[in-house]
Amino acid sequence: MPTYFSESRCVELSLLDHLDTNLAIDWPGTTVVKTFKQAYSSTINLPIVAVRLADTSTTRLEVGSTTFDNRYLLIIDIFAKSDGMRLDMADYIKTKLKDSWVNYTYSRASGSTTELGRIANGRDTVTDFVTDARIDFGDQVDTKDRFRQSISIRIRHKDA
Amino acid sequence: MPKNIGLEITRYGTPPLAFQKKIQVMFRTAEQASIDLGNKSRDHMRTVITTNIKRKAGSTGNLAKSIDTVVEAGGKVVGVGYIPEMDQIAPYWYLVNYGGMNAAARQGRTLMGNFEGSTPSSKNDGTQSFFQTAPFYPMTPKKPVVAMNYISKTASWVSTIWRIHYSGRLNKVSISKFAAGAAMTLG
Repeated sequence: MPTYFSESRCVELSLLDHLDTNLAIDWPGTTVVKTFKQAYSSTINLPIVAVRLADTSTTRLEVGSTTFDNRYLLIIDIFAKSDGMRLDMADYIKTKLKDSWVNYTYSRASGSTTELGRIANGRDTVTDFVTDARIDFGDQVDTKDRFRQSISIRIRHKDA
Repeated sequence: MPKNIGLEITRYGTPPLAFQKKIQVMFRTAEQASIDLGNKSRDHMRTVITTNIKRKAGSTGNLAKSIDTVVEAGGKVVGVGYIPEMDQIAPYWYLVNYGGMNAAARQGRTLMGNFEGSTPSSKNDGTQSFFQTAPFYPMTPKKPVVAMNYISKTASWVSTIWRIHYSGRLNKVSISKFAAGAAMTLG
């Protein structure tokens, strides 16, 4: 009996998959990760894109409804090789987000610790582009932090 | 053939003076709502920070304290967090929000101090607080500061609150006051 992941986890993994698939074609060599620890790992080279779910705002869909209307805040950190790449990659990623993307329900087969199964389940749509800002720590910065951009988006998931 | 044409002019719509007052009331309501939302946003941002402190024991609470509401032009401009003040009270606000390598880590510096009286234990090394007091042990920070994103989290919260509470409240105020033809007097 497979273990199905929660909606929040699926939202995060679906965006990670969506960006990973597109970047592999258009920006080969880019690594898409889920945690800061991975982004700063000495074994992973630039450019890096870190995607994580930061927050969930939950309200009822309407008065009296037992259905939630969740908005997920996702943060996309771009660690680029140059200032030009930082801007280009930020624009590219926003272009890939504007048309929504497929949401998958992920599951793990019983006994497996590595393989994930997935089934398409509706789409995720950006409702707000919250920030799209350069991260500037001044002149004395870590190599990974030199050309950083942070994009935060609010998204809504709709079941199929 | 008639010599004169009778012309009757009927005025309809909102008279200019009433329209002006209507706009003033709407603005005043919007300003009050902005101030109210600004104060609630400040409180929410402080809550996000205090609940996300990773090393609670050594926390000064300065970052949360540095966040305040700034009201300008009677509420036409409401800001949360005045950067010059935050730079003074909690200069690390930027690093904590966006995450990254801190100055000591990126320069490979060794700091002298202790993690709650000892070197970090393998069990709690992610949450123990660092004190630059005796006993002194050499510590070389290597891990990045994980982003707290308290600004985006608050912006996201504001967006939800605005959608479900304030936008509706503004519409109700402007409609109810003028539909009844009352409450036209301004402060």
